[in-house]
Amino acid sequence: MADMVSLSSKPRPGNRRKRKALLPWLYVLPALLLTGFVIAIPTVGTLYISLTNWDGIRPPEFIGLQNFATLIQDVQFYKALKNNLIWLLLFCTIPVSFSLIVAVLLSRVRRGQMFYRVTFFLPYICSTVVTAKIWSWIYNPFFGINKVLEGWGFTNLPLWLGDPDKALFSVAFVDGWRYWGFLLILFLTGFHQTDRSLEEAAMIDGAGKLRIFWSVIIPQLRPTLLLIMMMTMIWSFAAFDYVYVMTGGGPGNATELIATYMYKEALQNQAPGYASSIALALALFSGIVIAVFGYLRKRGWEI
Amino acid sequence: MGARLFTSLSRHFFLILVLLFAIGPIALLFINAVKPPEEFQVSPFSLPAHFTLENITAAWNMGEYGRAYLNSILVGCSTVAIICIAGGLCAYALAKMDFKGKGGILAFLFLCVSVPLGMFLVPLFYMWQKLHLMNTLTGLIIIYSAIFLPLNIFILRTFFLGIPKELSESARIDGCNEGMILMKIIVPIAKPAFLTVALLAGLYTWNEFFFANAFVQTEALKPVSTKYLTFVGNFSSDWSKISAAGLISILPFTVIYMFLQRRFIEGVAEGSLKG
Repeated sequence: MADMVSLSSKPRPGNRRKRKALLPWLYVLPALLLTGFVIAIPTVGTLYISLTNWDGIRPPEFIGLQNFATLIQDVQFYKALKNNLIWLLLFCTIPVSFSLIVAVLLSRVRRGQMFYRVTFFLPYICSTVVTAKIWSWIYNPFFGINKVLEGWGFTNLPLWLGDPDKALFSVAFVDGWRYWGFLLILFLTGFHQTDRSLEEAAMIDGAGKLRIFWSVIIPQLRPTLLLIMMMTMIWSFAAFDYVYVMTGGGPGNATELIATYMYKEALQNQAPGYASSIALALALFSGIVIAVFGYLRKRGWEI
Repeated sequence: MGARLFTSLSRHFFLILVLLFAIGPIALLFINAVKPPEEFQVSPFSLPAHFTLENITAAWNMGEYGRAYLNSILVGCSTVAIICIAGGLCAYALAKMDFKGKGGILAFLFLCVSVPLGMFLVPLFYMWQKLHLMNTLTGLIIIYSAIFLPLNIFILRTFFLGIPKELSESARIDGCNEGMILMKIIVPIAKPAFLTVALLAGLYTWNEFFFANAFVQTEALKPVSTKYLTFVGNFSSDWSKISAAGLISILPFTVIYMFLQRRFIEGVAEGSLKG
């Protein structure tokens, strides 16, 4: 009897310990199941599908690296890649510097700072589908901004979205219009963590405004700046929304980006195998960016 | 003093120009939505001389926005609920519990945030067809819950990390078990963080269209974002109505944003600085 009691009561602490070890896993399980099911498994799937010739209906046929062989000779892909690189250069310079300048100005404004901040961020809150259409209308040569400019006496106005040489810049401008407010918020958060007394000390030492900006503010902002660069690069490679809604990649393929090209191949051209190899190329570029920045972060953001 | 006033004024002048640039296009949408179509034809860039709600009611009916709103609200609320529960539990375990594999889970979640959406679109598309989740709101809810989860887990985890250990330890001494500590101590303190997460997830869900466009083609099931694309396709020449439909699409979150600006702004900043 005594043995029975000790036997039945003995496993309890062990059970409790086991339950305690299991509990965290129970908590993380729903999140892991969801992300695993929607993100991880299909991502691995993409790796496999990229090695097949598949029309989405019949069983996929394994063809090795043939899709990638096609990809590196695909003129359309190179056009998209080139557009993506232009996009990246534009975004890493114009919205980043513009939002930094506005952030510096704004940090010196006492009255109305919150008001400015809220309105500058509004484009980011609004649905991209809707703002894309507003801008399509503004760019429309028959009743948009050109009408106003004509009224002011301007002639030979660009066709904006209709002109293959200007369409990419026109769309990028709109995406930049939405994006810079987001960067502004990050810069202002970064400012918050900087030491204002250093600026005052530099001012007392007789440093000019530009000097303070370059030698006091920028070095302190370096982690924020690098993070912003990383995010901007990753997003530039994945850019999709505005091109899809405003031009669909056209005119011709003047505004085609890697993401829109992939979307088309996957869903309209019934070539999910080939689309998967494009997706992998896209992931490769983001992977490189993340790896480089991960390395820099380990080194304490020193360049 | 004079020089100071001058710099201050020129600063504001520049900022007001920037402000016009930022909200000009959105203001254009608002004014053309409440302007009679005849007036729009003549002066699309000026303030409305006559105010009308006709465009808006017409667009609401023509675009079947009642149904679209219902779909978006259903998808949004379900996604937010799932993210708060699954994300909250996961973030709590990652912040407050010690167990093997924690680092691995964090790394996995970080990978999930960094993977471009296109990287899993294709297989997901065919999985959803096989599972009959294509053209269903359930399918959309599952996708949104998963893609917005990692970011929100990071936000919640950061908040949980800031809660002192003493609180849960004293509760444990008082005889609370882990579940009770989470529900009675942590959740009430973390209410602001949950609100931020709910707002962000709600906003992203409301505006999302990459997946909505590919996964829901049935008109009656379309959420507000893709319904707008249908509307534009059907009434492409009538800009008054398109403006009205645009206004209908962005109004709910514009209004919520006006009231809870700080929380949105801080949430977005925190989310990306953590991710």
